[in-house]
Formats: sequence, C-alpha cells, structure tokens
Amino acid sequence: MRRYPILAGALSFVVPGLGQICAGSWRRGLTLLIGLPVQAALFYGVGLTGLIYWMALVWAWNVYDAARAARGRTTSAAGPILLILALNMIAACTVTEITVPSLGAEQRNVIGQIAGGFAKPDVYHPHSFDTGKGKTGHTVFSESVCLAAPKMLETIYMALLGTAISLLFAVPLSFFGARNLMSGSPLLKTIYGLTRALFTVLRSVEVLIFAVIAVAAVGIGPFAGVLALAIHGVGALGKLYSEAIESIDHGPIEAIRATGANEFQVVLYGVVPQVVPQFIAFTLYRWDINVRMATVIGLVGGGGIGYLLIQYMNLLQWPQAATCIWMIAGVVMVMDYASAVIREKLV
Amino acid sequence: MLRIEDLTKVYPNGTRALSGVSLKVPTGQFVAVIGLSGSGKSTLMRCVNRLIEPTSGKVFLDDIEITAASDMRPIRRRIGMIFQHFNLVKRSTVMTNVLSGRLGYRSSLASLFRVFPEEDHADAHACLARVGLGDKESERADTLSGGQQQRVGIARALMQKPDLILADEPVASLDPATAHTVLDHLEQMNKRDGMTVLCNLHFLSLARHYADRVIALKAGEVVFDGGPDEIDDARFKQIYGEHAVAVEIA
Repeated sequence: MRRYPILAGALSFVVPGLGQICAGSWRRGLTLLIGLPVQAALFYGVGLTGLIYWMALVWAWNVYDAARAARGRTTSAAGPILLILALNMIAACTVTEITVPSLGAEQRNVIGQIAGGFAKPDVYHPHSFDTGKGKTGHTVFSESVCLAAPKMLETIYMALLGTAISLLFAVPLSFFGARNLMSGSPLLKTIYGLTRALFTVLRSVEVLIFAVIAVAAVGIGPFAGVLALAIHGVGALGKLYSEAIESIDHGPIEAIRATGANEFQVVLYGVVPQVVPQFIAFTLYRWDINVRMATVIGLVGGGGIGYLLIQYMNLLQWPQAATCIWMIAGVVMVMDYASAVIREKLV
Repeated sequence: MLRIEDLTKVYPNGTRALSGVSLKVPTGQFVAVIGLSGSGKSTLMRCVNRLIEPTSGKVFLDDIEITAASDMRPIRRRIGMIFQHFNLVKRSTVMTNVLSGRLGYRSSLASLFRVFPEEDHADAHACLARVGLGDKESERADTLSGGQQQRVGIARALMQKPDLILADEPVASLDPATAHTVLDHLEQMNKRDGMTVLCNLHFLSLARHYADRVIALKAGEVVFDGGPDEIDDARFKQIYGEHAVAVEIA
C-alpha cells in the first residue's frame, strides 16, 4: 500500500479508517472505523442530526490522513478531535437544556432575589418601641441570626463528636489494617484484608446516605447526624491511619522485638511513637471535613444548621438563607486555616 | 556457648541466603563475621534470635534449643542486638529508647502506662553514663549524631543484661574515628562483662583489630573459620573474589 496514496484515500472515502488500516496505521484506522459511526449514532440518538453534517469535515480529514499514511507519514489529529469535542459540547448544552434564552423574566427575577439575599443577608433588625415619652430604638440581631448561631454551634459539636467516635473505633482497627504489621501468618493476612474491606465499604458510602438511614433509625435530629459522620469517619480515618502505620520505619520495630518485647509492647513502643503526629493531623483534618459534611446532613434531617437552611430555602426566604450560608462559609474558613496551621506544626 | 547446626534459610522468592551453616561459639568469644553484601551475614544474625525464621537447622544457646522454643521472650532478652542504622525510635527520648531494652522483663500492663520501676531508671542512667551520654537522656533520639545514636543502641542492649550480643554492621554508617569508639564499647562488654559477641563487619582490618576469631561467609556458606591472622592474600581473594583489594581502616 505504501505507494498508492490515492487508493488509500479512496478506501477511506468509502469506509472511514479502512485506508489507514491497509496502510498499517491500525489503531487510528480502527478508531475511525468504529468511532465515527458510534458518534453519528449518538448524535442521531439525541435527535441532533444537524451535527452529523459537520462530521463531514472529519470524513474529509480521514481521506487526507489515509493518503498521508500510505506515504508513511502521520498527520496531527488535534483538529478533528477538537471539532468532535466542540460538537459534543453543543449536544451537551442542548440535552441539558441550559440554553441562555430559557432564562425568562421569571427566572431572572428569582435569581435577582437570591443574589439580593446574598448581598444583604438578614443580620440586623431595627427594633423600636414606645416608652410612653416618645419612640426610642436600637438595632438588634435578626431572628435568623439568633436561630442560626446556636445551630452552627450544634453543627461544630456534631462534627467534633462524630470525629471522636470514629477515632475511638478507627485507631484500634487501623493496626489490623496495616500490611506491615499483619504479614506474619495467613490468619493475620485475612484479618488485614477484612479490615481494609470494612474501611472501603464504610468510606465508599456517602455521609448523606448514612444520614438518611440514621434518620430512619433514630429519628430526625443531631444524633442521627453524629451517627452518620461517625460511621463514615471510621472508614475514612481507618484508611488514613493504616497507611500512616504502613509508612513507618521498620528498623525500630525489629529492634524492640529483639529485646524480647511481646507484640503488644512492640506496637506500643515501636509503632505508636512514630505515628502519633500523623494521627493527630489526620484527625484534625477529618474534623474540618466533618464540619462541612455536618452542614449538609441537616438537609436530610440530620440536625445542625443545614436543617434550618433547607427550611429557609423551601420558604424562599433568601436573606435568611444567606445568613446561614455566610455563617457556614465563615466557620469553614476559620477551621480550614486553623487546622492547616496546626498540621504544619505537627508533621 | 552458642551452637548452630546445619542452618539453612531459603527466602520465599527462592534466594538461598544460608546453606548448611554450622558453628560453635564458646562463651566469651568475640567473633567477627565477614563477607560480601548478600553473603548471608545479616540473615545468620537474625536466625539466631529468630527475627527471621530459619528454613531448617538448629540453634542452641547453652542447652536451650532456640529454634524449638515456643516463647522467645526469655531467650531474646538474653540476646542484645545492635543495628547498622541504630533503629532507635527517632521521636522518642534517649531515656525511653534505653528503657525499652527492659521491655522483655516487664508486663504489658505496666508498659501500657509507660511505668518502669525505679531500678530500671537507675540502670538506664548507669548504662547511659557508661556509653558517655549521661547528659543526653531527655533529648529526642534524632537530635543526636550517628555515633551517639549507636551508643544509645548499645545502652539499650545493655539494659537487657544480655549474655550474647549480635551486632549487625554496627559501624557501617559511621566515620572511622566513631567506629572505633563504638567497637571499643563492644570490646569492653566482651572483655569486662564476659558477653559473647557476634559482629558483622565490612572491613577486615577492623576484624583483625577486635576479633578473637573470624568467620567468613560466601553465598551462604562458611568459607573460612579461624584466627584473624590466618587470613592471607589468597584467603582474602577466596572470600571477597579475585578482583578485591583490601582497604585499610585506621
């Protein structure tokens, strides 16, 4: 085929990719052969036949590329790839109905209200009363602040308690989930595998899902939220702790074992001192994450500030909702910064 | 008396680290084990206190068969070990590292609360003073120099009140002057306290200086066993290979 570029081009004109395959460019030929019909079928499937015409450009490139391939040259595929991506973006916009004209007057009004709420959250209320000798007045915190502040504290405490309960279970379990400590016998290896599997299962189920289950089990309220955070946290913290244990220096373990110490003492004197700073850092990090998680848990009835937030949002009370959101943002920012500073000091 | 009979170790990947090593080391002898990297020196040491489980063969300490023991605790505490990389717990204090040499004598519960009897603290002070680190007890181990860390390692081994010292390349990470300080301590433990010493060394000159007896390993087998002065040029080439040149360390 090397000397017949016109033949290769003709083959690819009839069946895209065939010319490339005959010229020896297997991978590119097969991609075109399978990819183009599949892409066309996708566009047809979502009812955008117009986009298929644009693919004629790719077809033309394919003929040109086949001719070049027959001469033993490769052509950059960047152009056709970008074109296909752009066509898919158009298809995506159409399918998800996010076309700009659909923002009608009503929607614009709602967005305006929301934006207004964020710009002017409900923080202060003028408070005036008649003393009998004329009116006097001063400003007080609004009702939404008075409701949200204790709920925010509740959220932080939920996160703290959830993290503490996770820690209680994850610390002892993490030693069983550390490969370097559990490679002694087939039994130990099995325990290691089971522990890691447990961590994976607990970690892969989102907190929100645990929250829905916990609400069903113990009822609406912060206790359900704490349970959800705690259960998910055992998986998340357990994995991090185990990996911290796996990364330690094996030398001291060997040395302590050689003194005649039993396995418990080996862990206590050879492993624990090496992992304590990392354990503290991971725990702080988890608390930080849990505060953010705890704000969402309220949306499904798990207590905390999220519970208040969803009520305001359902009633379209945007300034009040904005109070909650700004409060969450402030707390998360402070915790982010504080835990980063502490972690830097430790590790 | 340390007695090793037909000791063989084959690792799961098929590496034959030791094949049929037999030795008798009388109490109070200073034995240097020499040989190239990978000749089986470290494996031999670790088979003695069973940090590595031998494939076959027997090891006896006095009349106790180590390789048949179900509880290694009373045996291991009689065998002190010193390592090339010191193997201290870096974040713990010097004192905690030295005290951990007593763990083999203390209960799990007491060690959980980090309680050691007054006697252990007194002994730890004495051991640290002996290696010249009396003033370092509350420092973190990783703030010490290499030579100082190895001396902490020696103090930890001394805390076991051992009969046998296994020293696995104790000076390979140290400069020549520091190396001598460390080996002088081993010599003192051997001559003054009567501890048997089994010491892996890289340098023949150090072996000649300190050892009563030299054992050479090559590919897991004993290729030389005799006095340090018996190793002539021909023996040397047999142990280290045709192209090796003896490097002196002052």
